[in-house]
Amino acid sequence: MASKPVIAKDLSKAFGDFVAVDGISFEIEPGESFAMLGPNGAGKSSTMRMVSTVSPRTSGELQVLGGDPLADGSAIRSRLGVVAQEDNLDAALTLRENLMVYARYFGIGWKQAGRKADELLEFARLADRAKAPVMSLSGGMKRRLTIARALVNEPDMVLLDEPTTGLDPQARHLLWERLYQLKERGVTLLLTTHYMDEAEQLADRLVIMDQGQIVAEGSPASLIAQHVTREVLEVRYPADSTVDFQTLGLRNEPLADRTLVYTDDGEGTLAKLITDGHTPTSSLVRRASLEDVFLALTGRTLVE
Amino acid sequence: MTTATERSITLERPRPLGPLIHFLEHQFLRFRTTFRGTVVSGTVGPLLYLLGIGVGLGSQIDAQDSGLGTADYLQFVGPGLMAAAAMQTAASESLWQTAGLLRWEGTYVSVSNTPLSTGQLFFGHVLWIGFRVFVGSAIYLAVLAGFGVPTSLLALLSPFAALLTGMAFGSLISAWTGYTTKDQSYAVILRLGIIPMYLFSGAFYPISQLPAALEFLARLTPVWHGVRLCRGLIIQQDLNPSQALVHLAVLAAYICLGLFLGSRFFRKTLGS
Ligand SMILES: Nc1ncnc2c1ncn2[C@@H]1O[C@H](COP(=O)(O)OP(=O)(O)OP(=O)(O)O)[C@@H](O)[C@H]1O
Ligand SMILES: [Mg+2]
Repeated sequence: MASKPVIAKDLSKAFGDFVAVDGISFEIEPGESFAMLGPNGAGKSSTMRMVSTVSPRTSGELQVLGGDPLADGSAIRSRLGVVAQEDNLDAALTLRENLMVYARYFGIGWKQAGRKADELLEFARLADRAKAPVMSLSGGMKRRLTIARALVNEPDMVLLDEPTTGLDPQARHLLWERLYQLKERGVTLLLTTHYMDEAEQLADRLVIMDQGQIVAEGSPASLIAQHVTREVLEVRYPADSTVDFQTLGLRNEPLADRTLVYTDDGEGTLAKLITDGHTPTSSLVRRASLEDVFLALTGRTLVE
Repeated sequence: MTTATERSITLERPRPLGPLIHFLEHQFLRFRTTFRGTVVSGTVGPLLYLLGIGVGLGSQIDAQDSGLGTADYLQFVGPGLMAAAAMQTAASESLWQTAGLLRWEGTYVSVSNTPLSTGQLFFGHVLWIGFRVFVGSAIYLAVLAGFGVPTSLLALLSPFAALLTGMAFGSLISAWTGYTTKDQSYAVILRLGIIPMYLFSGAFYPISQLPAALEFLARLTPVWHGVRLCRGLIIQQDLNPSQALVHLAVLAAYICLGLFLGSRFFRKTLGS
C-alpha cells in the first residue's frame, strides 16, 4: 500500500511570539479517518492549514501525500480536498458555477466539470438550486456546497475543518453518511470537530489537542478505556452538602453545578451512595464519552 | 509522491500557465454579471468629464496662447483624463474590492487551496485589473474619437499604455491591501495618494508649470508616464520612440515591484 498520507514530527506553528501549534507528532494511515478534537484555540485549524500546504510550518517536519508542503505545494493540492472552517464561496457566482470554476483550477475540462458539478449538487442535495446565487443559501446549505466543492477533483485525502458546525441534525447525518462513502472508496479523511459524537462516529483514530499540544491519541474506545471508566455517574447535591467522594474512594470531577463520578457500575455506585446516606437531589448514569476523557486529561470541559 | 486512487475524472497534466488561465476564466465568469453596468458607467463617465472639463472649462482656455500646443483644450486634456481614469479604476479595484476577495469573502482563500500558486494568483489578479482598465480605456478612446480627438491610428495603442498604467497601480495598491488589515488606510490612500496624483499628473496642464520640486515628484509617479504615453499616442504630441521606451520601462519597473511585493504579502495573508 502507498505511504502514509500525513507524517508530522515536532510540527510547530508560531504567530509572532505566540505558539499556536507546539511540537505535535502524528501519522495518518492510508484510507484512515483521523480526527482532531479540542477546544477553541487548541491549534486544530492551524494544523489543518499547514497540512493543506497554504500555511508554512515554523519548525518540525511535515510530509503530505508523500511530498513536502513547502516544496511540492501545487502537486499536493491537486490531490487534496479542503473544507476550511469558513465557507469562502464565491458570492458572485451560482452554485453550479462555483463548482465548475473550482474544478477548472484542477485542470478538469469544462464538460467534465459540468458533469462533476451536477453530480456533486446531487450529492449535497442542492440540485434544485443549481442556478441560484450562493447568496440565497442558508448557512447549512453553504456548508454542504463547500464540502461538495472540496470533492471536485476526487481527492485522495479530504481535510474537513469543523465540517458539520452549523448543520441541522439531518444534514449532519447526511454528511456523515457521505463521508462513510468516501472512506469506503479509500479516501483518507482528516477532520476537526468539537463534537464528541462526531469523533466517535467518524474517526478510526483521533488526537485530543489542547493549547497547541496533543494530550492523547488513540481510537475513541481505547481513549475512553485508557483514561476514564466505562460509565459516569452524574450527581447533584444541595450547595451546603459535604459529601467527600475522595474518602468514599470514588474518582470524581467536581463541576460548577454537578459532580461526575467515574465508575464501571453507575447504578451500583449510586445505590451505595444512597445507602450511605448521601442521596443526591438528582442523578444520571451514562456511558463515558470523549468529553470525559478531555475533562480527565485537562481538568476543563471541551465545550464551555 | 504516492500513487493516486482511481478517478472518474481526468486531471490535465499541469501546465505552467494552466492555473493562471483558469484564474482568468474565473474572473471572466464573475465579470459577466456586472459587464453591462461597467460598459454603461464606462461610457457615461468619460462623456461627463470630457464635456465638463474638456468642452466646458476648455471654452475659457486658449490652447494656443497658453502653450499647450494643441488645437483646443479638449485635445490636450482628453488623453490625459483617459490615463488618469486608468489609475482611478485600478485603485478602486485594488482596495475594498481586493480586501473582499482576499479576506472578507475569501474567494482567494478558497482558490489558494487549488494547484494555483500564490504568485500566479497575484499575477492573475493584476492582469485582471489590467484587463478591466483596458476595457475602460478602449471605451474612453471610442468616446474621444466621438469628439474627434485622436489624430492617427497610433491612438489604437493607447489602451495598452493605459493597461500598463493600471497594472502598475493595481499591483502596488493591491500589495498594500495584502499587507495591511487596516481598511481605514484605504480612504487615506485615495485622498492623500490618488487624488493628488490625479491633480498633478500632467493631465490638466503640463507639469513644467509646477514648482521644480513638485515637478520632480510628479515625474516619479506612474500616472505621469501613463499620461505622456496616452497623449503621445492619441494626438502625437511630444513623444519620440526613445521617450516612449523610457515611459514603458518605468511602468514595467513599477509593475515588477508591485508583483514582487504583492505576491509576498498575499502569500503571508493567505498562509497566516
Ligand atoms: N493568523 C493568526 N495570527 C495570530 N494568531 C493566530 C492566527 N491564527 C490563529 N491564531 C491563534 O492560534 C491559536 C490557535 O488557533 P486555531 O485557529 O488553530 O484554533 P482551533 O483549534 O482551530 O480553534 P477553533 O475551535 O476555535 O476553530 C489561537 O489562539 C488563535 O488566536
Ligand atoms: Mg478552528
